[in-house]
Amino acid sequence: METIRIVQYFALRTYASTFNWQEPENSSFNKDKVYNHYYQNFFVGETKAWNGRQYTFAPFRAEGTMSSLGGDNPVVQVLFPNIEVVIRFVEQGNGNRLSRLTLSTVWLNAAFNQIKAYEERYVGVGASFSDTTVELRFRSAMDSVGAQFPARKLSRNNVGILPLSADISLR
Amino acid sequence: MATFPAIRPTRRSFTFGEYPVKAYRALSGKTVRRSFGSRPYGHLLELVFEGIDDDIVNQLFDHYNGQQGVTIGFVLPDEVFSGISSTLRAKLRAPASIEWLYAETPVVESIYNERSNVTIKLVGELV
Repeated sequence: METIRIVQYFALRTYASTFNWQEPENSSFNKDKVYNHYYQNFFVGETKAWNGRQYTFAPFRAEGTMSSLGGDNPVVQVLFPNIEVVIRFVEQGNGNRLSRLTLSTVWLNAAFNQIKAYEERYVGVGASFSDTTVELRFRSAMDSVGAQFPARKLSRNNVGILPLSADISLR
Repeated sequence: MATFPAIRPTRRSFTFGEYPVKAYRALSGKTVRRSFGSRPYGHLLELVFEGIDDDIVNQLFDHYNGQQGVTIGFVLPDEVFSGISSTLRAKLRAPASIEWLYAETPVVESIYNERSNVTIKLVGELV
């Protein structure tokens, strides 16, 4: 019988651009504010060091990563309880549309020492709320080359205010 | 955090908490277990108070409402664990990173004039 012990380290960087309606259109964005959030989901009530950062405990789970031959963006969902601190970091990242996630998966032995690890990087594409949970959705930053290459660049300057969806995100 | 009423139960049973583990069993029968956390959760404590006075039932009733039912955690006094050695009592009373909550609504059974049996089930959840 084998036992697997896996800790996931969640490092989220959110960019909180604030839109100022009073300023002229060509200076519509204030300077981005950057916030970093570090959490791990295995060591209950403890803070653990990983890659030079301190990760506090948070009861989250990450799932849904998949890749395909077509090279589509792998999608990952991270599920958190609907608590104040989670809502805050979703809103800091404009509903998780202006965020970057580094998700490290680390295998542990029985003494909780690291055996092996790998790291994935994602960009935020949105979030959804329920009465008990908050689901953050991410996609890989790299995509396969499609028929329309290079991709068309849209900005507020040439199309106005953009509707945001899982396929369009502001950078 | 309101302390549970200091009343010695007639009977008491304790079930150790479990570790968050999920097992995968292959068609060959071999199992692989994945551990999701470093601490046990869901300790269970059942307390039975037999033939107690209605005043004591009132205390238990008030405490249950004070904790908003199964919502707010609380501390257990030594009296709940009377008769157990001090070392074991310390472990049962306050397991690491655990707070006690009502697992379900208490059951009161009237047995005689102003006398009742009360069964209370508590659960120790991770803080």
